[in-house]
Amino acid sequence: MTGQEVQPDAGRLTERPSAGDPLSPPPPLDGREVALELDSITCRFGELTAVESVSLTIPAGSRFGIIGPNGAGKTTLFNVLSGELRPVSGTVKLFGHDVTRMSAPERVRLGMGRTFQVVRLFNDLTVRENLTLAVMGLSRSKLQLLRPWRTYRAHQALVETLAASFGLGGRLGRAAGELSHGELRELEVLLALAVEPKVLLLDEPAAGLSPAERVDIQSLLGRLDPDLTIIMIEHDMQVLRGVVDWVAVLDHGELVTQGPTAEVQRHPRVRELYLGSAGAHDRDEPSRSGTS
Amino acid sequence: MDDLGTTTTTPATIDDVSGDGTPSRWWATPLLLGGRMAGPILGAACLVVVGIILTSGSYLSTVFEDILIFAIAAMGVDFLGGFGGLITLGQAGFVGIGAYGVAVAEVHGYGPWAAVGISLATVLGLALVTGVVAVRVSGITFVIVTLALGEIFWGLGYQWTSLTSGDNGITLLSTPSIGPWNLSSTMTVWVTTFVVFLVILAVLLLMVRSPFGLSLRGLKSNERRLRALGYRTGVQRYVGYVIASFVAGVAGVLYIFSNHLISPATLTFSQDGFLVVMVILGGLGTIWGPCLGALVVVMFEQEISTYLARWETLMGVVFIAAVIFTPGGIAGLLRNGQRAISRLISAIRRARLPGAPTPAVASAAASTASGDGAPDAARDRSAGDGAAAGIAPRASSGGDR
Repeated sequence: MTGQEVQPDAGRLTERPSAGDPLSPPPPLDGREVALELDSITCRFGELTAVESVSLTIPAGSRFGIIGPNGAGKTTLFNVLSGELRPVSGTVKLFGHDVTRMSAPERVRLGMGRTFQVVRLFNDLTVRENLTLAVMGLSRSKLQLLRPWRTYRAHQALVETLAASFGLGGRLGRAAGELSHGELRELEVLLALAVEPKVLLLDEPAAGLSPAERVDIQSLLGRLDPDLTIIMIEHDMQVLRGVVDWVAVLDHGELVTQGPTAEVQRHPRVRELYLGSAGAHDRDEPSRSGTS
Repeated sequence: MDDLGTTTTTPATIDDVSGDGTPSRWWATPLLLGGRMAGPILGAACLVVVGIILTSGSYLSTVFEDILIFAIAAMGVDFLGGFGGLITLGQAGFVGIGAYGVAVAEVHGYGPWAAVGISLATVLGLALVTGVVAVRVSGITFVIVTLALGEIFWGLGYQWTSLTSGDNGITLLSTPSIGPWNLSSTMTVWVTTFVVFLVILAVLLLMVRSPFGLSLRGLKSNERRLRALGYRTGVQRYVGYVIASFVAGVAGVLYIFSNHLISPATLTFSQDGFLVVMVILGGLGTIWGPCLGALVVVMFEQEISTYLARWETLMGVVFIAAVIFTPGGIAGLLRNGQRAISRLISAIRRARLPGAPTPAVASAAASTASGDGAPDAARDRSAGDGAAAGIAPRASSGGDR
């Protein structure tokens, strides 16, 4: 999250959504099963409450966005979802399984993949080695000691297919640290996809990208399997609108509101959050990029 | 350059005259041959040296025994530290346990073969137990925990006198044998040590190229990302620690048959320090580099020390200089030298072949032809690849950016 992407004077919304708020109900299931269910998740760091009693229901196959200003608790919520942080209270259910006490690797086995806000790759390994590690993540062969990893033809074929699909086929021999920022972001998404997730958590996949690269990543995300559940944190409203159809808004760790993307964008609370109280009245809709 | 960091060069012709009559650089021919034959020449040279040492039965053969034994222990340190990012300062403790295991078992009436088995089982058992504690931490904390474990082993060797005879140490009572093969013979010990060294070297080199070895490198590079890919990284750390410790135990077994005496001096912190110096001086993350580090350190300890009382000071200066000027250690130095020779050979080839591409063009061509570039670029262009992964191929290839 970069400071320039959100109005620094975005004020805290002290008023919690009421039960009667038309944007508060979760997205309709329409016969789909619930992919991810958060029930009253609270997460604290010492005296600081980063996430407070957040409840969300995310249907399988949905494209779900999470927005909010800096410090709203979005990434903390992601860390709770992916198992890197344990909440103080509340439960996380993945396709009906209570995974609250499960570690991150165990959740990956149950179908959860994620990317990080700050790109986290194996920088001194090549793209091929990065992808091989990812592809072998759920395989028993990852503990094999006496056979070279390059001889696993099925894994290597999958690595090459994945890389070629995202235009990284020509970069397999390059160290990840030598890639451009856009390619790093793509590789980050590829690593998450390589573990064949049912739920994909994308933490600001377009952060730091040029306008052209943003179009690329948006197109890339748009081509993902429609059955895949995507939950995305993103400040760039244009990218967000192109990918997600439902948005939840966080502020100071609390769920402010949620609803279809277009409706949330028009919501006065969201406009106030992103543009300040004056902007909320002066403009018809929030910034397209969340910055300008 | 392919993704293992090696450079692929086009097979060269060393014909004497070019098509347009350009005179050949005849003097370059040995260099070109040398470049292609470097491996076999080096291997043959090693065999000659080994043969000379084997047949001599001299003091030098004893020194080389020590070099090989410490090289084995140092390779274990490199396996865990150079690939997994976990530098252990408890490796000398396991060398000592390997040696004490044989000696103590023999004192208690076991035959030499049984003593070897008991020793290796003890090493493995202790590695499995201490590993549970050690791998719960990483980074500098891991270094400190392994240091503490090493000091505990040293303390046991020094103070548990009923078992270890304390500071006096234990002398080996008998050596194992199979028919004419008996470890009481200096040459047999040398050959056995050399064979075990080669086996451990080969096994560790295989391991670092295995999926587990790759995951160890991932652990060193970015543990959080590795966990997000489904790896329970504690398992990686634990298995790596047990392997490194067991390798040290094997070195300890060889140590007792080579030196016939084990005392707490072998388990001291300075021995741990020497092992780490061997690894860093030789080249962290190479497996074979620490063998060269062991050669340098043992030669300092056994040869330079006869001329210079303050040999440790000199070794410290050499170590600091090496860290500053050749961060990749001796292995890095050799790699740089190899690259320089490769560049020189390429330059000679270009000079010998008229109309050869300019360096920039040649470089671009090499990068396209070598490693993964060409086939993957072709794959990029093939539509439908993404279908298998549930993803449609993108319109523009990565090469466009």
